[in-house]
Amino acid sequence: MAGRLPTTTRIALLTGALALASNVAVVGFIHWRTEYQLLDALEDSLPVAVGLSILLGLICGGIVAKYVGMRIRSIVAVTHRVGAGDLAQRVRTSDSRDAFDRLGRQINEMLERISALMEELRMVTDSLAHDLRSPVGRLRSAAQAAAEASDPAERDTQLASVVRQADSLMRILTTALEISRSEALTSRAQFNPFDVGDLGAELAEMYEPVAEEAGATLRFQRPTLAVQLFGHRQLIAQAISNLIENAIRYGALGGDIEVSVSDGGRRVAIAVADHGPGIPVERQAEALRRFGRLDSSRSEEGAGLGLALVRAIAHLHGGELFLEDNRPGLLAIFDVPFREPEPAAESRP
Amino acid sequence: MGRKILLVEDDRETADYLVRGLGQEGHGVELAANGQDGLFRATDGTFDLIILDRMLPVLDGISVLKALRAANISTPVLVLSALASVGDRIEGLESGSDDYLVKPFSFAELLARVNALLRRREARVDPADHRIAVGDLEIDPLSRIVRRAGKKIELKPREYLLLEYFARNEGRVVTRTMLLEQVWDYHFDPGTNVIDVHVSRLRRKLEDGFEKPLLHTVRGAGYMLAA
Repeated sequence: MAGRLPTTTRIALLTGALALASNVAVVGFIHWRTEYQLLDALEDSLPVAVGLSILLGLICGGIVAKYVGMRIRSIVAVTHRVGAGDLAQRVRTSDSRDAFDRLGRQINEMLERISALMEELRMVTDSLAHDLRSPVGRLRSAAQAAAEASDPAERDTQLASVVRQADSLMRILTTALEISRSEALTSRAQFNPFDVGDLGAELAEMYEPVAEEAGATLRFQRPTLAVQLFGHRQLIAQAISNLIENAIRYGALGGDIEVSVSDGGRRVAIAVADHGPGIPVERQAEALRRFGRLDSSRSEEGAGLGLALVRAIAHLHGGELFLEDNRPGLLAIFDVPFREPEPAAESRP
Repeated sequence: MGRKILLVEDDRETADYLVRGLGQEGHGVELAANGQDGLFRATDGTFDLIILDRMLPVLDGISVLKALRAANISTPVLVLSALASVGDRIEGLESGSDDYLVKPFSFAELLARVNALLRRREARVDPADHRIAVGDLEIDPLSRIVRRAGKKIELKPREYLLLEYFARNEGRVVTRTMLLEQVWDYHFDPGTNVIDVHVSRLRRKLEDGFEKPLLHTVRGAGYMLAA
């Protein structure tokens, strides 16, 4: 199947050529019998023409059936092997554009997507299992220490630590759940219009004393006009507060933290900038990945999920989270397009 | 002063734990183990509060709640749920419940919410604009002017809301999550001590220059405003 033309086209051309050849043969036969009368000539040539047509039809039909059967069998074989669990199988396709190649490519695209999802699921389960090990370990040792403590004060301290570790575990699980919920887009039913400028101001005011305690100054720059966004207010609040908490946690030593909301016409950008150590460009992708964590000593807060959640919330709103170098520091931009409120049909039952 | 509480919960262990704990607080607790039974008892008896699990056999919690509200029964309802996402919490609150608590919770958290709901029912007779006094602290919800021993205390708008919430729950424990939900209207779990920072700022404004503390920290639970 190395030719330029699609195989089906080649078969069609072959059929056409054979049909033409048979017509030429019939005409030649008539010509050869010109001494006879025209009627006789036609009468005599008719069975020949019919016979030739039937023969050619059978040959061409046979070729087409054999070819179609072969292509379908190869696709069926692949789906069988995939069904048996081998997701690495792909349908063989040529660079032609016939129906079988289109079908094959569609099946391959579907398999690619399934493989990617499976791979992600595997990674999430692996990392969840792995990430839960250390908090569970800490929980276990605190519980054991409490059980063995003879001093009541010591026991209380250890028990308080048990509760804290359990809470931290719950937080990791809730965040992981929130990420998958956001990615499944189910929360779109709870979208409502609200003013992002007001929300940003509210959160900046909420975190301003926290930044101050950490030795930084939090500044907020709001847009001149109201910026109405149709989205999930609670989740966007959580996204912005995650970014601000990150900036305070890792960038407070750099002094100023700037939060701004800007209206870019068809999009709205909420930016949080700090002047801390930032994240090197080559490690930004890792920071955005679920459970991708730059420093394992931060694991206590389940911080590895923070940026992944912000990004999932951006995706829920059809937007994106961008990380940039603030020279020095990190500039995180939560960028979402404006959406029209959807018709009531999509609302909850 | 014991109250009548209906607990609709199918998980035996949680139910026992809550019946015992609330009983020790002096409340009478009636238990229903499925949604249908819960709905039947709720429409039949008179309760001061209903604690309703969201996932129940026979009839789920949200359906029970909707049926209750449709039957014009306005008893305060606290929904308990293992569904922890922000969307689930919003859905729970919008379906007519008065409060929503995610499992697992500490008993202190549940008790604080139960008390706040019982208190709200009791305080309903007072007009909202009535002045609130806690010891020598005086709050005027209309003008939002706060004085302590006659001396005016300057508060930022959010600090005022925080204080008013504390004052409306005078002498009762208020948890950090309750403050986040009621004063800020956020339903996610912040990773930092943001609430503590705001409370200690408010405390400084209320207590600086005065001898007697007003805003107390309750270990393992939250805060309490009391003279």
